[in-house]
Amino acid sequence: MLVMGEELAGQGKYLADESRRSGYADALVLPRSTAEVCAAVRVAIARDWPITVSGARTGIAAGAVPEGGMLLSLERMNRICGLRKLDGGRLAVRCQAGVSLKELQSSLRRCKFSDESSWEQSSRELLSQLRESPCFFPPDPTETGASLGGVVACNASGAHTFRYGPARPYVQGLSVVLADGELLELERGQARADADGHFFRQRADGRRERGRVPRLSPPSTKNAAGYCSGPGVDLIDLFIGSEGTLGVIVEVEVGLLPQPGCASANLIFLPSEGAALDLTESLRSRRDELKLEAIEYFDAGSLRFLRTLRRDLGATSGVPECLPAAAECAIYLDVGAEDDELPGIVESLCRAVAAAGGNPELCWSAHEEDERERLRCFRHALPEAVNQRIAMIRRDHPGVTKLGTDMAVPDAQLRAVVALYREKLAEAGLEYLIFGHVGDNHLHVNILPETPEQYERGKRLYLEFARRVVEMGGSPAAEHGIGKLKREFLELLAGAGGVAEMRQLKRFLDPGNRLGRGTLFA
Amino acid sequence: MKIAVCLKQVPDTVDLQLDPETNTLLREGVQAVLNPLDAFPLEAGLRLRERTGGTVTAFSMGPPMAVQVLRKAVAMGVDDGVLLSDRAFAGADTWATSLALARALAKFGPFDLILCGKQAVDGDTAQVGPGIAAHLGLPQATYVTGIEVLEAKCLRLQRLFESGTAVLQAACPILLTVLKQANEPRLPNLAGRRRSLAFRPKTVTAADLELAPEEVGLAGSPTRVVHVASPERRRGHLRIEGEPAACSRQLREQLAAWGFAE
Repeated sequence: MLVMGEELAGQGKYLADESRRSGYADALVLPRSTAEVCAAVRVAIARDWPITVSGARTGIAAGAVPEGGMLLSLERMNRICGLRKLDGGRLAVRCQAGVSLKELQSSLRRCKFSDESSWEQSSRELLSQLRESPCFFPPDPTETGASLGGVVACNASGAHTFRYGPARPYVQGLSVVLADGELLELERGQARADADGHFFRQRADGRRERGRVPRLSPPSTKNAAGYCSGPGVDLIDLFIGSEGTLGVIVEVEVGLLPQPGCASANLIFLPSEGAALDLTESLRSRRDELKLEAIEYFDAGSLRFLRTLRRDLGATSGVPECLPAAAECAIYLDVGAEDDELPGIVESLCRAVAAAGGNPELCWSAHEEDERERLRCFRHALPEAVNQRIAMIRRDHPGVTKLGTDMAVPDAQLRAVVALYREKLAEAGLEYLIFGHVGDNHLHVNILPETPEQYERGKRLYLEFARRVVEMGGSPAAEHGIGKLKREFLELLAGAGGVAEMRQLKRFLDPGNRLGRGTLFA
Repeated sequence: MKIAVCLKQVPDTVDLQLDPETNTLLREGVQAVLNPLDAFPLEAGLRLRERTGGTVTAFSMGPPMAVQVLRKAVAMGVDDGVLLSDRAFAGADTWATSLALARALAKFGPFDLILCGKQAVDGDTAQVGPGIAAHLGLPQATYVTGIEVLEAKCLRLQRLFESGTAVLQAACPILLTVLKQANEPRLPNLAGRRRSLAFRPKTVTAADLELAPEEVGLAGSPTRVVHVASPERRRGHLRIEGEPAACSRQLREQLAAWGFAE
């Protein structure tokens, strides 16, 4: 379907994403198949339009916000195409790019797929294997409305990245429509760059062209800034995390893991930030033994914010009444284990909590689904409340936006980075709170500026944090991506030379700079 | 204060389905959970214990897997749990169920306070709590939303009615059915979870309770289920989706069509 001219006026939702930034487009295309995507790309070439790819528009770096030309929304490409057994016996599921994470997760949980009647026989036969040994797709970005194409294009992470890593290692296959309208099929392990980073592209007309992947070594931390790089890169990895700038991902095949028999979500209340960091370090060294999937942090400011929310909104706030009044901060832990392992794990957790100065009688431990749902609501109440607070401030000061950092450092730098945040934020006299993925040393500092002047001060601080994090060997854009909002961080991380190499790769695959214009590069 | 709380395990109502032929519940693959309305008397018991000291003991009647609801209660903080489990109990109606529970409460009691939920979400009878009180010869107060301890074993209770509330004073021992308005149940705690994973309930059978075969199960039940049917669906809902301006226009037109003035 193609929407143009005045009809576009009624389709405003497609022009913005969760970054709250809004753009404009000459045409909106809603293809249902790969062939339609190829055709759409050829139309864009004929009209000399740039193409912005859009999934569920849950990104917060404005990658899906168009700056003119064609907006290619893949939301109608929502078929789950089938199952395959990988070498080694693991299952993989192939989906069109518009399938939502929620749909995939619930289909896997129920072992029931809306399109399974149209699957090939070999796929249908694997359903019984899935029923006998349930599997799941580990990446868990908070926004489960995200599309699989978006999850792969942004190499999405979530709380469980602590145990399972980001989306990248699960991607087994991709179908990508390139900027010239050609379809490229990629399978992990089939095509690599050589030791110098060179690779060849064989075109449909027989021409053979030589490209090169960027050579810089990425930080050892979580990172979602720029193209995958380094010698010997698997070519499938170039498209994972490329944020829609190298090709249109139309189908993805992702590997699955066996579903742990039981899940336990725990909120550990502690008397000080030092105790929380001690507990984090002691637990993460025992990640495999304790089957820990996530370690998340709520600092004193976060708990204060949540207590206020409870006081103002009561039970509808999502904050349980039993939040201990005396707790200074909290660590959230997810455990995914087998039933017979649980008693030993809970025993170890009780000891570790007591050793860190916490009281196991006051910590929450949710095992049943309704209990875990209450904890999930509790965790999500915080970022939502922060967003609402910013929305209130924006009524008086429309120029103010949320200043939420997305930076990760190596393990050894966790205390140093927390000390840096505390010192600089206190100096600047800004209101803020810190929460997030402490297990991966990836804390989100949320600055709450009340005035445009505070906002500018916060922005300067944000940039300073980014510089210092890079000096520590970390990433200034660990999971949300660069998009159109954090382009300056790409150069900060990769240097001018690194960005030039990324641009060179971009030119090789998209000489007309048609795809994702304004994303990654100005 | 010695407190007992009665809990029932029910099928999770989140995705409940009926067999279209027989109109009976399809239980296969359906999770079993604590009756949601029983979390409120449980929380009420734990809060009373925190104020007055004493113990809270949970009771449940059901198949062996009903131990799960006792485990949950232990994780939330109860001191002990008793499971009434015996094939002879199968098919019990509210009379036979409340009789068996009353016997167990007498065996492990006497209790100053017995707390029950308003009703179970699978049977919806609201008869078991009052039935227990009757079998034990205890006074009872239903639809309780507030419990305050005045002095040793004297309570001030608040009861909720459609037209208002009543405040009354009562002496223990007494049985109360507690409504969801009474409190917000706590989450299980980590130390409680550790205890719950090692927890083994005291299990009692019909013989342990000195119940004769004609007093239990189907034989002890004066009522029979002769027919089950889905109620006629009288209420519907209209979902309006789209751009906000178009939605509000459609809503306004629909309200006007239903006879609501602008």
